[in-house]
Amino acid sequence: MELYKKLNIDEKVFQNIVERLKRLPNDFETYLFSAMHSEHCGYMHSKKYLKNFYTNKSYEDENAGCIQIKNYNLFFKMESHNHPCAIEPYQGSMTGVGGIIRDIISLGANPVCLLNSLKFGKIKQDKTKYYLSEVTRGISTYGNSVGIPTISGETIFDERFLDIPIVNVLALGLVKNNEIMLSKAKEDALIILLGSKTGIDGLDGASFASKILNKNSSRTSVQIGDPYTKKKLIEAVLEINKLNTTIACQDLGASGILSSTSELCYKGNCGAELYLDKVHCQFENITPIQMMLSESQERMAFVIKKEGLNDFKKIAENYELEYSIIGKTIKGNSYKVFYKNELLADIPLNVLCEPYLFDLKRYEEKTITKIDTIKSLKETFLDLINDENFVSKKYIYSQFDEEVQGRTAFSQKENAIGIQYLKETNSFIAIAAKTTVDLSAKEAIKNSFLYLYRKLVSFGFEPKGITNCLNFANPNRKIVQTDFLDTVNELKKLSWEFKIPVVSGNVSFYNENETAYIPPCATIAMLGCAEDKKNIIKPQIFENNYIYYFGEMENNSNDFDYETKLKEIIFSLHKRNLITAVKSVGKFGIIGTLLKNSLFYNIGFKIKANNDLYFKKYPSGYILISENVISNELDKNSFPYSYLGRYFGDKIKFEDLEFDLSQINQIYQNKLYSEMEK
Amino acid sequence: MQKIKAAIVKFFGTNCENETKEALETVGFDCCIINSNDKNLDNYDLIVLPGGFSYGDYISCGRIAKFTPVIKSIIENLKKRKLFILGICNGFQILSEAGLVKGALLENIGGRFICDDVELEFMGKKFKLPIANHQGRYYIDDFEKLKDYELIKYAVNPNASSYDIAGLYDKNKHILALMPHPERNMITPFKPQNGRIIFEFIKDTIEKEFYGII
Repeated sequence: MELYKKLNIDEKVFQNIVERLKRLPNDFETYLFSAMHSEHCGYMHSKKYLKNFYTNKSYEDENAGCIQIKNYNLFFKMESHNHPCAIEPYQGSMTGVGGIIRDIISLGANPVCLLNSLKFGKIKQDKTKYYLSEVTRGISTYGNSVGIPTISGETIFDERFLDIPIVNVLALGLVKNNEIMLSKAKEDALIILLGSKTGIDGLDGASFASKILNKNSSRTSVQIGDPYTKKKLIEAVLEINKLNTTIACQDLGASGILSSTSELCYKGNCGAELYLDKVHCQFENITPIQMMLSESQERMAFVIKKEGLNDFKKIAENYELEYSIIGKTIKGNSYKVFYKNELLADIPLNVLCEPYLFDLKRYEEKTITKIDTIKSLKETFLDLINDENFVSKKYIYSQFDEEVQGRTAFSQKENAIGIQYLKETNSFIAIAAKTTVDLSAKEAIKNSFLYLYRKLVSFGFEPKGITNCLNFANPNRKIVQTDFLDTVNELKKLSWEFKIPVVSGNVSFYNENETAYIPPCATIAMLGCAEDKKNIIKPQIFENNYIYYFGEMENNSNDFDYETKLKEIIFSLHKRNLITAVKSVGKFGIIGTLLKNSLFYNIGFKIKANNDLYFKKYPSGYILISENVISNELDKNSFPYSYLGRYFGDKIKFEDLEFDLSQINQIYQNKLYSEMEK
Repeated sequence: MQKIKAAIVKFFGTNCENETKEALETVGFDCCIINSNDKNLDNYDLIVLPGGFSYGDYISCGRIAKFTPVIKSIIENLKKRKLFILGICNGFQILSEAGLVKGALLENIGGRFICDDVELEFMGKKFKLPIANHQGRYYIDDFEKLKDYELIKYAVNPNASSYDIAGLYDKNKHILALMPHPERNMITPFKPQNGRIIFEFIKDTIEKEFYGII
């Protein structure tokens, strides 16, 4: 069999390479193409469709995008690490965190928080327990050690993720406007590799993540993390990126040396000469191909001016980090790789970095007809309190250090939102992630978007920016193409309508194995800002507080008008001290939302609402909590509202039903722990 | 009196030095961050070993840090003059490894990292502070060994620590070792000011015991 076939390069892709190269690539070059023209590095099935989001153009081709607060830029990005986690969940989740941190520090940004979005099978399954405990431990070990707080996250248990866990992690970092480091090289400079030695872990990781999982999926494709070295690397990189002799910086992630050095030069319109014998390696007989494709962790690539070498050395030595000068940038657009004076590859960078792009097509939509069996209110309530998706996720979040760096303003872990104070800008940020997996692709992304918008509003934050992580199955499936296109088109529409920039994104295809594939699983994270402490609604609930349900979108009304008007009203109620808490409503309806508060503040409630509203999923209104009657105020605007009841006592009461709060609390607090200890 | 000088030791892997510095400054200390090779501690009345994962917690938490010049210098200084030592979290682990406080810190039951707010009791005061550790279960075989110590106790023991111990204060040597993080509960808006209780206690003690200011 020909090499390119063995390396899983698509026929069309290979023909395209040959045409543009005007010759056949040699074997070494074919290996390079197999990595750079993989889905993971090349975004071949998605790239055409990721344009035209509403965005603040400035850093579109960088490792992450940003929003501005005063004279600082907040870079944030989310990434998937699903394939490695399916094979080796501890190392997989560690290096997922490690990878996204590198994207942030390469821009010169100081990482201030992490967030995650996880999907597993049902908790009763042994496999789920294994994945959950190992993924949580991995994120915990890595994030905690490097001193970046994990401030929020979501975990979904759903049988469709049993064999294919989804692990998405987000990092956010802060950098002064004039200290941003880009990944664009300039000619006649040194290319330096800093950090851990190059070994053979994570070898071929990019290709591995670009096909479906099968019984041959190898553990050696998974990278191994070293948070201790990373902690030193973070500090060193931020110092190096402040030197005015540093031209560009890029992290070594998928396809390690190959993709980092080629992209640095391609973006900077120059060429490169690499001398692989210079690379500092874990052992002597590592081959040139292995060096190029290794995904050994905790490495960064820099392009620096020759006169900056001494300063660079000094910083590396201070942190006891190894480095090697592995090449130089040159005029032109050739990417040349030498090993022991032999020229192994000479490829024009545009051919190497611009793979063939596939077209996707929208096929007839498969309608999901999921009929919920009609249950009594009592049955629905009992299901709710035992639902593993409803109960406390403390088992997970208590393993994450939320407070390191001392920025957390107040903890909202039960509400899955992180609220941080940034002393650099004297302002606050809030960030949360959401995935909807029980609606059609188009409805799901819209639901997640509006849900996060309302969630930020309910804490008094102005929504400012979005990132996304789009997890799908094999893009050759018709249903996957349709779902993917529906997702990105809807997100484009929403971002334009609300003028909320999509600052960065990530696509992960091939989330399937030989027997199953995941449903469309588009995760978005939304960032909100509050310039003033006074704007923030820190929820407080006291005995005898009043409960209102406010708003409800009419079928033909415009999303943007409805949401922004409600937001303004809520902010104004807060400014006038008329409300003590605001709650957006999620999957478990108003009962689920009110109950979460009851459990947190240890106060029961009694309410009366329309029968359909109690458990209605994702209704468009908010719950308002107040110390006094606010009907007069709510009458002043045109949106519907209803008075539901009050918080008091130690019982949950609605219609003719009554439940003991302390009993519910037992289940709520202990369910995950007891399942995990079984 | 001029500000009391404090040094915060940053080992490779330490990650709480900045917020600890900020917290100490809020209370009125004059702080600087020093590294593990700094031996000259003459200028300081307070040495702080902050939280983090010194040397990656490799082998065991605090095991490698205890061999550094700064720790040797602390031990020498304690022999010849009055010096207040504060170890927070990883700092406690280092102090225990170096034999500067009695007892040991073991892995939490279940092997899990715990990040939580816990209620504490110290010198008659009750207050909450966050803990965040993986190897934070205090162990001592005999309570008698703690007779020179003032104890900081958990109201509800989060990890089966011996005698509900969250921290120890050696009244004679002025060594305070804490698993909870006082610096995390005072510098950010919305946070209660509970961390001050600890830092003000240290400040008052130094003023009184070292300088005779009442």
